[in-house]
Amino acid sequence: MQAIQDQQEIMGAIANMTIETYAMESAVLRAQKLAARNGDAGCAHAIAMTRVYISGAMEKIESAARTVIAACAEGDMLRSQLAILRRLCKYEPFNTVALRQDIAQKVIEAGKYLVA
Amino acid sequence: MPEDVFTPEDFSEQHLLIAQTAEEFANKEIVPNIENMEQKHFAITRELVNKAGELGLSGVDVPEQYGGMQMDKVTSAIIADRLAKYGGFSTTWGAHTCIGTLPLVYFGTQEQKKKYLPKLASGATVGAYALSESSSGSDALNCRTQAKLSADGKHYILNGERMWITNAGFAGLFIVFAKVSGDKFTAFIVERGFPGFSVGVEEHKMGIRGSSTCPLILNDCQVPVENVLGEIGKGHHIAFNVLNVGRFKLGAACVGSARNCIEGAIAYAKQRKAFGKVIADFGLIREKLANVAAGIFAGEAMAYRTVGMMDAAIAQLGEAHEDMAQVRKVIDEYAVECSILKVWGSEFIDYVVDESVQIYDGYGFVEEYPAERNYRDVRVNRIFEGTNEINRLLITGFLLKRAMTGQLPLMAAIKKLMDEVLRELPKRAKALLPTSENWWQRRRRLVCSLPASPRRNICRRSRTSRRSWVQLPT
Repeated sequence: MQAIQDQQEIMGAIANMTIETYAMESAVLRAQKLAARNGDAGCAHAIAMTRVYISGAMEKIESAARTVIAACAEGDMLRSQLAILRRLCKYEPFNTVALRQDIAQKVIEAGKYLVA
Repeated sequence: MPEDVFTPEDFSEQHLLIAQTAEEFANKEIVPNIENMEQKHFAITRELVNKAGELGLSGVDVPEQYGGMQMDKVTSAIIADRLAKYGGFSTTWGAHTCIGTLPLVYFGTQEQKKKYLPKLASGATVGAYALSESSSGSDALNCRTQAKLSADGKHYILNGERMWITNAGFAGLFIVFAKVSGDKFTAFIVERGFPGFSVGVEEHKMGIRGSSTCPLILNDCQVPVENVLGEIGKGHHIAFNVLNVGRFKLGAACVGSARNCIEGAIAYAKQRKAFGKVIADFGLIREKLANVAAGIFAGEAMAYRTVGMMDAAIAQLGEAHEDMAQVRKVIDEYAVECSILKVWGSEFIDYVVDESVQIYDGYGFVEEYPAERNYRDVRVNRIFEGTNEINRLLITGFLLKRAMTGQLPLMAAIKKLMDEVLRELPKRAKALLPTSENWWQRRRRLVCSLPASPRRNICRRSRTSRRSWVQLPT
């Protein structure tokens, strides 16, 4: 079996998952900190941006995970790993179309990026 | 926990003041001079480096005793972020303050620091970092430039060439890497006027045209022995460690640049009409603006979270925070985060400038509007400070190494996760029963959701069937 460090594509896909996880977690923590200070209503725009970001990030993470699993397992093991992945990536999607409309309205009105 | 994370909402009065100073400098000094700098009028670029130094924007990472400000890493990131209004200048300034100055801050002797740092911090001398060669970049240890001790033992004689050196056209000080005795990779402090040192012709680049990029030619270049930086044979520590700071600053600058790009795109979208409406009213344009805004929010969150963690760790050093070797070690602990910021930031800004050209439509493709220049300028971010490919390998490599040495409890986390998955699956199996899915699918899901032993029995029994069954690890 090839050592993982010799499989650059696998290393790269795991890095992609790590990067998106860090980005997503940082956005969520920032939004939570804002919500603790200003209440959910006081930071609706920040929450909307966080939801849009994590929706995209989860898609990227799931796709990278499928690539890695398919390269590392086959047959029954592949199917069981995919079942676990499906379980881990099971979530009710946000209405990102409406969220993006709200975010856009806010930044267009302000003429710039803003948090609140 | 959210309260433990540093965010832009936690900026102090001083942070906000510096952000304002940097932003004003960018708007009043950099932006009006973009066209001149694009035409390679380096005297203007040079003057702006001086002005940035006078305002205290260049010496943030330099200790006070050597003419710097020695401020926290949050400040360092804020300045890189707010100055990012023009790639050509950001590159010049970034190379000068970061990879051109920090090797001395972290590895220089007292004499070396005293001699060179005040000039670098004030902007009187511009710094540069010469690691790449025509045939070695990320694999810098394979460099061909050689250094030999002179017969009288007073100089090292350097021979070779260096490629794509940012600021080479006007820098006064270069951190140059070469191999001593054939294999000992070593850093040297090389002044522009040293005998045998010359700078080649300017490269014609796709972007960041306002910055200078030239090769260096070392032809029996005489470098005094006291200008060896760090230890002989330990140049790789210097070469790779200072890149961490370069990477987090680059990540912050990419976020700042995105903020700048979206402002231009919004202004354009609000006045450009199509089908009787301004294009800012169209869903597909609004979708792009929202994606960029969401990305900036996440980018700011992770950039300032990272530098906030660094500052907290440096504060833990107590009195030792004056000891640059200790500070460097602390920053090294965040190498993964620095690489993440670099890769994420450089790819996010690529997305932003691409969509910006699209929003400007035909005008995005001509030089009249900044979208075209931004599109070209940001491309290099995925290449320098370690390619994104190398940084990706570093990210996963570091994580695996730390997991193997027990520094990172990865295996324990995997076990915990697997326990959770296995505990929760039976609930899912129950929920599946009333669905209208076909029998095969239902049975497959049910089997994979059962605890280990009954599942094994079912799997064994079904071995004779045409279908194979999902087996979860026990």
